[in-house]
Amino acid sequence: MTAVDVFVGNYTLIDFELYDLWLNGYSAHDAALFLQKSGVLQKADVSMEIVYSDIQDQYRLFTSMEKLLKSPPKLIDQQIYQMETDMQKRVIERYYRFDSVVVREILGKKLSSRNRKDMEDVSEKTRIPIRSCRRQFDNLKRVFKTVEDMMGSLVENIKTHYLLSEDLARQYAAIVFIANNRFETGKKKLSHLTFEDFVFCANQMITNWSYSSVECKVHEDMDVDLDRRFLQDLRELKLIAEKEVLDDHKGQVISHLKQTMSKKSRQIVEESFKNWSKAIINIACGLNHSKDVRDIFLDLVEKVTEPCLSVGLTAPDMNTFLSAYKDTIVKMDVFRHQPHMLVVWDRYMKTLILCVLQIYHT
Amino acid sequence: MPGKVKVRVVAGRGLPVMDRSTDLTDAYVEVRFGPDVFKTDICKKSLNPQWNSEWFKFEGEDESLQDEPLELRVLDHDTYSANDAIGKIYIDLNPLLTKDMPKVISGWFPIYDTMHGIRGELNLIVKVDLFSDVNKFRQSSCGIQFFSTAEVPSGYRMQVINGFVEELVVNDDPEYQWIDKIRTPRASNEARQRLFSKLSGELQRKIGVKVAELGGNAVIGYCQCFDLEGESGIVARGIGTGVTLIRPSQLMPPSPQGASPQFKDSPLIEDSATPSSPPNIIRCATSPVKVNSPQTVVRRSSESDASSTTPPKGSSLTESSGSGSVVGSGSKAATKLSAQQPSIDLMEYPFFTMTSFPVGFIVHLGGVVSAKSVKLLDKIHNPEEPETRDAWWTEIRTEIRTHCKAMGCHAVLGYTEKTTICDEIIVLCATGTAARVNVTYDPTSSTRVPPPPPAVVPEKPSAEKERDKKLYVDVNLANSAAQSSLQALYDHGSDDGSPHYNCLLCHVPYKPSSAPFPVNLSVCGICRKRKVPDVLFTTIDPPTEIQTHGKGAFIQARVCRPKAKSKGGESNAREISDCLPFLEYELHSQLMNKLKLCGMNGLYGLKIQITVGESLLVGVATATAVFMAALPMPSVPRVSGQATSEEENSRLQEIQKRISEKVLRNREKHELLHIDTGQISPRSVVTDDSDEETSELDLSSGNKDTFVIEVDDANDENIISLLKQSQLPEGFTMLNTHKIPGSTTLASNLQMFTQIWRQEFVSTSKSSFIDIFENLVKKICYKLRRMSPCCLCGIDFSVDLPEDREIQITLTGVCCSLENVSDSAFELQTYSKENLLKAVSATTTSSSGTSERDDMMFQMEEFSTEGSIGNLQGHTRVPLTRQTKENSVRRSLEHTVQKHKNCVELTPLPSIPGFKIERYLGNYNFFFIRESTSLREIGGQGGFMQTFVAEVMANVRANVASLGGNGLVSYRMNQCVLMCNPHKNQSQCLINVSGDAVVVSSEESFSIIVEPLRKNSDSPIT
Repeated sequence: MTAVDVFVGNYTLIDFELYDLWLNGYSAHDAALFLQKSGVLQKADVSMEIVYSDIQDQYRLFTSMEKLLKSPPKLIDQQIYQMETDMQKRVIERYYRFDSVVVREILGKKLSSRNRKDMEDVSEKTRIPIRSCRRQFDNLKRVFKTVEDMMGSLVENIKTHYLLSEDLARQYAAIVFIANNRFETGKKKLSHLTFEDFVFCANQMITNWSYSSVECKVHEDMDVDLDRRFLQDLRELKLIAEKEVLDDHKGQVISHLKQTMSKKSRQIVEESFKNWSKAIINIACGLNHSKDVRDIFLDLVEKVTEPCLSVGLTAPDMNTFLSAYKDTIVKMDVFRHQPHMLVVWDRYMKTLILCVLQIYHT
Repeated sequence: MPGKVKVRVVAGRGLPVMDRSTDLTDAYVEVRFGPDVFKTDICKKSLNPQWNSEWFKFEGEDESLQDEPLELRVLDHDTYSANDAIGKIYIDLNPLLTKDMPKVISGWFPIYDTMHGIRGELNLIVKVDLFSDVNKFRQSSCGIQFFSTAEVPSGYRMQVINGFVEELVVNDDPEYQWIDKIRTPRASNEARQRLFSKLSGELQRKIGVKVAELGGNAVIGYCQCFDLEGESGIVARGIGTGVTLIRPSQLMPPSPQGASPQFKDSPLIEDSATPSSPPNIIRCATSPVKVNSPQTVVRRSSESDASSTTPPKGSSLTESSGSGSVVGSGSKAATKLSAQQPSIDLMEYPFFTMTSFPVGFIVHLGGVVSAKSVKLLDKIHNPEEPETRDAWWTEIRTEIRTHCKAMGCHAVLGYTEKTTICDEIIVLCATGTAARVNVTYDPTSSTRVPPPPPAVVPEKPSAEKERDKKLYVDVNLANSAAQSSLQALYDHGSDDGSPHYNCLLCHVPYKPSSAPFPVNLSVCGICRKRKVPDVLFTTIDPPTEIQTHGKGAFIQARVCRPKAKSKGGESNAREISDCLPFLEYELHSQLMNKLKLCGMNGLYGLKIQITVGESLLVGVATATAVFMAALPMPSVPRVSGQATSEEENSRLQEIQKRISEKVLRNREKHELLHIDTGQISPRSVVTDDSDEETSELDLSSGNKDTFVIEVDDANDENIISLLKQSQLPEGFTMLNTHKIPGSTTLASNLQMFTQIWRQEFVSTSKSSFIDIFENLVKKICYKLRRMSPCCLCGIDFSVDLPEDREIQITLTGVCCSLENVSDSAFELQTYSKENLLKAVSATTTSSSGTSERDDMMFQMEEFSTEGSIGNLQGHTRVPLTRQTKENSVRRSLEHTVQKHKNCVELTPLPSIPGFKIERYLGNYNFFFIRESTSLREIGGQGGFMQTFVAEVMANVRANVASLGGNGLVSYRMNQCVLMCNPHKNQSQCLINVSGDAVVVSSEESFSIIVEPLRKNSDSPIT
């Protein structure tokens, strides 16, 4: 056995092919076999031993860098590994990148070490090596713990503390947001929703419903929470579910849809309008209770998307209907005594439409 | 010059957690210089403390300023228990002691702990105020600059070579003292590290005094070694070349008029000094030399085996050293005459540790000289007077001097000294290249003007007149005339700025009839007048004057011989010294075979390392092979052997065939195929006026021309290993010299690397030993595969036999990208164009010969001309070649731009390709010790070493950056001693590195690189 066989360069260069293998949980030996299969040995005309020694060098490097990667600014400050900034960023980004199938499993679970044990099941289910699953779980947990009690913009906080790209930081923000509000995502009814669906919806909620949204006047709290005041205002929307308003609203919507929707679809809308409208308003009013907040995705699926899908309304039709539903309220002058409610209505519906359309699939 | 040292501790960052309960640290810093200690306040509960301390002031005499490092210790305050050490920083103050530097060090230093490695960083500012000395009687060496760089540092001009300087300091090793039994490993490591630092300072100071006495102001080619003798202590040795340097930019513009007085003086001095040279001849005649090979004159002191314990040497050595002293006293009278430049005859040891010399300095190259001696280590009783160690080296140097004389030379270039220690045996080795030099060369000529023939001619005849009577003088004059006319031809072809070749360097410095050993002489391939050897081995870097064809090739000979386990000092010593000549002979014949197989005839940068282990004796010789135009073209080696059967005969033929193929392939690879024409054409030009001597010699050289490889039987291991030597992968070139010979041009640094390999080795066959090296090279190439095409330069192998049956190889080098190489098709085209270009500008037929040069400026000029010719040739092909070139240029450009920002470049070469050295900031030399008692937890031996080497480099970079530098040139890992104890989960390693911190800028390369790109956009219009 080789006692020592190390290669150290003045510049630390990362072999990203190996880095990915390492991140994916391949052992040095498996990685060597993988490369052997991919034909690297033949191409470079080298023996397995040489390839293996190179892999070990890189793996040792990755292992010693992992300590720094847990706090990325440390990797930027350190002097032991002289690296180009681009490469540092890439190393960090890849370390924090995750598989959406894995995170989809973790989503909604409490990020505690108790749940870390479940990673074995996740690994089995997703066929992603356990080491990789654990890394992803730990990353989520670490990011969550760092930013959960922080003031200011969630995405910005993640970006400064983990030096991630805008895109990845947004995804982490969504996960943190979902975890913090303990949204229900694991029910069987929701199993058709993908990770990307949740990320999209959560980000919409962060921008429009949280304390950092433009409409929110008091920024005393954090990004991770929904704007309490807004949620309280939402209760006023029950006005729309009252009988006279409902009928009037229905008429307005149907007439509005005359130009834009086929007759068949219009009939479907006409039939179920009352139920759908009630469901949408009920969700709005319920958001004041934290229990209902948690079930928002469940409610949206059960009460809105499922019924619409079952009667065969297409996604473009759904879009047309919801837009009409939103816009007609403004014309109807329901809130002539509470003009601020128009803003609340707009704020609620805009996000809701986007979310519903995102999850409008089977 | 006493001085005041001022230190300010600004802040820390990334400190380790020392208090488990809070996950924080209460850090403070102790600043120590000599006996004085200051402390900062305690910065409570922070991993990124801000101290912003006051200025701590220390006072010191210049001895302590030079010897003692500034020591900073970071500690964690603990109210109830003892304060815990976090780590230390040592700062060498020497770079602050020169006059023309900004006297401040500031930056982030890694906090280093010998047990835990780097633990955070400390931001410091250090200043030194020097008072001018009032005491005129005390000689201070403050301000003497040290350079590891083995040539005149860029931006400087060498005024005087003051001569060889050496010093030796001895101390007890803290690791072997009684106190070590009771103190912690950390304390012991720190004591050792401090001692190494102090010894190194003391050594430099003492050498500095010597240089000052000689009238110099700098040491170049400074090389420092620590012999860890174990029980008998530590010997710190330093050798270098004392010189007087000036910066032309500071004093005056390098105008010829400013320097001319000196130039006028020099021939005068030389003339008046020559009368004192008669002893020269006597020495040559008397020195008895035992020789076992043509070029490597190896002579082991024959007494060493018998009387290795008694330092005073036997008969033959006393004789030669005696004659040396005769010269010394005899020519002392001449000192007054040569006030400025000491004549070569005045130097006690005319040795030069430099490997690269100004144009005109070297007159003739003789060949490699080396001396070895096996000694038994004994206790050094009086560290103040290390007589025995001094005597050993005196002995060796005297021997080298004698060998040098025997070759008709008076100087040794590229001189190195090495040791190998195993238990109580020490083998001392010294190697160099014997040469005739012209110390009073004209310094102004070092850059542009071809060497003035008058400066060479008067020196030569006067030295050789007495030996060879008049006949020789005539030949010489004729030669120089022919040579200068040829030079004119070359100059015509390649304008100003191109290297001017001088075949004089290759001519044998001795008379053929009095050759010190049997050597095949033939006629010089360039001047066709004088005699040259068939091969030339040197330890120096390729001089610009010697014309070479094609590319250089890496050559390595490896020999491993089993040795009986030690049976006690004396018998062991005897066995080793009996074994050495055989080992050396084998190394030599391997080198020779490989050289022939490459189709080349010269070696540069030859390094021979002998290592003694408990049961092995290993010799590794590394060099860069070239084809020197002046030397005869090597023929394909012919296999000879006794074939007893038909089958064996066919096997021999098979070997012959394979050898021939290999030679052809090698020639093709190194661009040597086309040179046949280049060599024949000058002959046709010159033969008209050549005298009968040429033809006469042609006859004699004819039968000696073929090189015969003796084959004992068809399965001869030597032959098999010879043929087995694998080619480097496509896109790789490898060289061990610091200057790049031949047609290779470097564009930028890509990666400096260190590979440490250690494994148990049981000698089964020769090939298993050779495989280790072949494998290592393959490994490096595989790791750097993404950088290809590239050139691995400054490759240095170092072999240790740390424990019984274990081999450790440390390989360092730098990977550089190549200029104007993209693909073979492109290269071919350039070639034809280049030839075309030559045919247009110069009417000589020897154009292909001149096409090789390493001057970058010229290469770039060619780019533009080539473009226009390319356009004439046809539009279709041009865009394609442009594309590739553009890509390769852009690639290297991007690389340099990106890296230059705030990275520190390290390189074993004396310069960084693509960059210009603006300033030298001081010599860096440090000994690091790292120990771990939790080996398994940090990834075993491998993890330990990988981290440690990375930490060493990080420390080096931080030190360079704190001086305001962005590069370290002439980087060398002098020592890497690893002691493992896997059973105890413990390991210890010592690494010594050195180099010159520099500021580099890339302004020049920018303007040049941008040009071809702009050209490209213009081309459609034309």
